[in-house]
Amino acid sequence: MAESRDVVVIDYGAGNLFSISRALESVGRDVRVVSSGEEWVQAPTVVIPGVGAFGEGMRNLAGRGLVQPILDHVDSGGRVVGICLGAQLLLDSSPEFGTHDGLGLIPGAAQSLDPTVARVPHVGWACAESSNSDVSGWFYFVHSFALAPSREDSVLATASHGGQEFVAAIRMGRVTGVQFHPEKSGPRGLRLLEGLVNGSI
Amino acid sequence: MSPAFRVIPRLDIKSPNLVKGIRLEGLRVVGDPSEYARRYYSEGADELMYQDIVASLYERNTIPDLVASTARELFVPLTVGGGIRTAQDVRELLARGADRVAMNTAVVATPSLIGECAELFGTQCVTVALESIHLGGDKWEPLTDCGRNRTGLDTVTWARAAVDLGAGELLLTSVDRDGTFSGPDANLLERVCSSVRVPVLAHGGITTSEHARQCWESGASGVVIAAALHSGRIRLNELKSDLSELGVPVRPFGGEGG
Repeated sequence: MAESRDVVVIDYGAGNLFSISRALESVGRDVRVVSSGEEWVQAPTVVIPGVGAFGEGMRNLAGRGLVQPILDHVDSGGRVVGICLGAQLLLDSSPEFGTHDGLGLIPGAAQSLDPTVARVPHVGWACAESSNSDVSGWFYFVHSFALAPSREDSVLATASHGGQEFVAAIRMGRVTGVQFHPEKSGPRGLRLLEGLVNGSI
Repeated sequence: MSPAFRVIPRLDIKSPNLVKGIRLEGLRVVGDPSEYARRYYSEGADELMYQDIVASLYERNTIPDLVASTARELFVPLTVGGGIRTAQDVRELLARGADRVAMNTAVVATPSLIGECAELFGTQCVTVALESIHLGGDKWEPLTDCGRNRTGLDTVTWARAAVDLGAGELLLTSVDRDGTFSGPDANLLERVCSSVRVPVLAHGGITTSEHARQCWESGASGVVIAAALHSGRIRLNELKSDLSELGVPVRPFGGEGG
C-alpha cells in the first residue's frame, strides 16, 4: 500500500505556516496543521517550520503539549523535517536570549554566527555543499544562529557566510534539519522539500 | 568570499495597483502587482519587497491579501512594509506568508517596538526602513509617513540606535534619488554601512549594473530596485549576469538551478 500523502505541520505560533503549507501542497502533499497535543494526527512525516527566537519557540511547543507527541513520533520510526528555527529546536539547546533546552533529537547546540566575520543575521542565498547531491545547491538562509551538532556524522551539508563555514543541514536517523528555507528557495527548494518529506532524500 | 549580493525588486502598492513615484511623490499607476511579482520571480529575483505606500497616511494596511496571494504561488522571500504599527500587525503578515517586515513610522514613534518584535519573531524578521533626505555635507535626516514628515533625527545615529534595539536589517532609501535613475547616494550608504554590522539594503536611484556594483563596494548587502525594473530599463537576469562579470558575487540565475 502506498504511504499516506499526509504530512503534519506543527503550528506553534512561530509564523511561516502559510508558506510551508503552500510549498508542501504544491508538491502534492495533504497538509494537516496541528496546533496542540490534543489535535495530534498520525502521518509519516512531521514538519517543524519556524521563524523566530528559540526560547519563545520551545516555550510554545511545550505550552501546546507538542513536545511529547513529536518525541513519540520519532520513537515509532516517523520522519521529522525541521526548517530554520525548527531545525535548531531538534538540538539539545541554544544560547539565543538566554540558555534554552531544545527537543534533544540530535546531539548538539545552536551557536551564534560570528558578526566580526560577516554581517549577522545572515540573510540571503548561499550554496550548500554535501556529499548528497540532492542537498547541494543554492538555498535561501535567514539566521543569526547556526546548527552545531556534536557528532560529525550528523552533518548533512555545510555552507559559508562570508568565509565563515557553518552547518547547513543535520541528520540523525529519520530526523533531518535544514537551516535554510526550502519553501523560499524556488523550484530547487521545492524539489528538496518533496524528497525530505517522502523519504527519498 | 563575500556573501551573495541580493537583487530585490520593490513593488510600491496603492491598493490594488502597483505604483511608482519620484522622490516618494507623484505616484503613477504601473500595473497589476501580481503580474510584476510573477515576472520578477521567473527572472531570478532573490527576494520580493512590497510597500503599502499610503498605509501610514490612512492608518490602514491593505496589503495582507496581496501578501497571501503572492506567497501562495511564488516560493521566494517576501518583505512587507507600510502601515505596520504593532507586534500583532507583524504576526498577521507573517501568518499570511511574509518573511520579514519593514517598519519606519511606527518605530520612530515607538522605538521599543523594534525590540519587542525582535524578541517575538527574531531579529532577522525586523527590517527598519530609513527614508533619508540629504541636508548637505555629512548630514542626512530620516523621514516618516512616506516622506511627508520630518523626524529631526540624524540618519546614521538612528541607524545605529535601531540596530542596538534589535533591527536585523536596514533598508536605506535615498529619497533624493528615488525614481530618478541617477544612481545611489554612495556617501550615505558608506556612512551607514560602516556604522552597523547588520545587512544594509540600498534603495533609490539604482538603475544600472554599475550603480549596483557601487552599492556593493559601499558595503551594501543588496540592492532594492523599483522604477528601473518596472520601466524595463534593466532586466533582472541581465543585471545579475553583468554583476557577476563585474566581480560581484550573486546567486547565478538559470532555470532549475535558480
